[in-house]
Amino acid sequence: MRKTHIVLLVIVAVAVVSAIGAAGAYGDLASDANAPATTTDAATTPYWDDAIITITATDDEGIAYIYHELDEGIAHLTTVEGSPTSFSIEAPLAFHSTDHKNPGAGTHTLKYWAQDINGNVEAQQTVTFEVLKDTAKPTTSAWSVAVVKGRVATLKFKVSDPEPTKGTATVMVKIKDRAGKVVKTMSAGTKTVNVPLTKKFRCGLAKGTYRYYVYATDASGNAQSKVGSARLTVK
Amino acid sequence: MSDNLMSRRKFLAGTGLVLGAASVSGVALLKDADPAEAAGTAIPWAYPAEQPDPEAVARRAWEIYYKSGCAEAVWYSCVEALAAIPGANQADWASLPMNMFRFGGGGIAGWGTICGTLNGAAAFISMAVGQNLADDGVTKTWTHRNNLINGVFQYYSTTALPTNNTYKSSQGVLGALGPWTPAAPAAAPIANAPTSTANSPLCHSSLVQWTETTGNYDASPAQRDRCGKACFDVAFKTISMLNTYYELNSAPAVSFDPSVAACGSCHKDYTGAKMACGSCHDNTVTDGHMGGL
Repeated sequence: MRKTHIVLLVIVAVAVVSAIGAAGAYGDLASDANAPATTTDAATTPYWDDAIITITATDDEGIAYIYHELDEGIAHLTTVEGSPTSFSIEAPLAFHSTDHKNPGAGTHTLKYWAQDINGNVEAQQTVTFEVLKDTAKPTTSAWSVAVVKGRVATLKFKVSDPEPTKGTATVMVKIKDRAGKVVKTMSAGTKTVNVPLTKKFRCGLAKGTYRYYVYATDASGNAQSKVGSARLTVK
Repeated sequence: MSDNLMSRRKFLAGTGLVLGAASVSGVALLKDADPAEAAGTAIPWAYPAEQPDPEAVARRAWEIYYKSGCAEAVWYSCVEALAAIPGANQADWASLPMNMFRFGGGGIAGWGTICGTLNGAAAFISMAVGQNLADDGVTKTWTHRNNLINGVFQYYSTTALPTNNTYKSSQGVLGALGPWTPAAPAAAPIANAPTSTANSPLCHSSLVQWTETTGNYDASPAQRDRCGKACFDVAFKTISMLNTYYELNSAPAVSFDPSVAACGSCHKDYTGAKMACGSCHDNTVTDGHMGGL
């Protein structure tokens, strides 16, 4: 075969391949009228402190953009590279950033939708979610008890934590003598709030009158605003 | 026709055609009458039986935008189309000066008010659609004209724009016109640009929303692409609606944003509007701004 024939064949082959490729692209562009479908994993129960919601868009031709809009603000645009048929983002994202944005406490509205590679735009979808944030400090209260030296003492107390609360608190008990000196410190562990509680310990303290103080830090990290205390009598 | 303002002589020549047409229709003309007042030139003007192709008009809107801005793009592309089609008022359409709506760019001379595409579309619709008879068969109303204007305004406000149709048209896959290379200085449309839904017919609100969403800035090539495509989309919509209207003599009522009725139920003494209230106001019906109601 002559050299010119080979060159001609190559040119024809390239032209045919290009035409097929172009026709394919145009075919999709012309005929694809299907908008992407987007879903979220937003929980119906409240989130604590922050919410990270996964938005997943799918499309038979490929995803180009995913949009989301928090509380009627400016829509956030995520440009999807590579035209995948499914793509996820974690929302909400900060303005013009890929960093997560904490939506803060309250009830929020998240709109989300996607656009495929052929320009089909999905109708905006909406989901509401709630974020709870516990900023209220718990208080503690205690009741007077008496114990025979060497026996098991049962300290009685309560941790009060207003709603919204995660329901538990880490409790510490300190016993002070009449001079105010701490003579014993005990961890009561993690306790349920807003119910009567006890802490037992074998009392090796000398006979006399003491006061025990109850300290609590709720599960959100709020330390008590009022330290409850009561008399401990060792007989 | 050049892009410059039509010369006085050319304008008068065009007017002469109009006056001639008016004479034919038997309307008496006053000597030295103000051309604008000459009987027979009053709008509405006839829409041709041979209907314009929405895509062809939209392509011209894209091209004109790059020369003369958005309002002129939609208005003149429509006018130019009717000027080229035989019809009762073809000469009238042809008499209109280019660049008459150039003032409308940027929401009227940069004021950010009404989007120029809608300004141009509303003007064109009002030139092509007159009063219609109400259900009683006697009373004349502007219902059809207003419904058509409502339709194009609501389309702009609620559609994710720009659509990809300008790009599709350039590739020859939108209608039957084949591929298209826009005439200079118009750029080639960007493929599949990001979109935003304005929820507003206002230039400032809608464009800021788009630039904020996409991260593009005003006067950038991407912004010009967006607004040029809005011209394409609105011109396409306008001609499509008018074609349908003259085919079916029907201009269906448009549903407005629910806030229009909700807010209007109390704010009866306020100046009415059909825009979504939330596009400017932060209040909602349930946010307690009505004394906790």
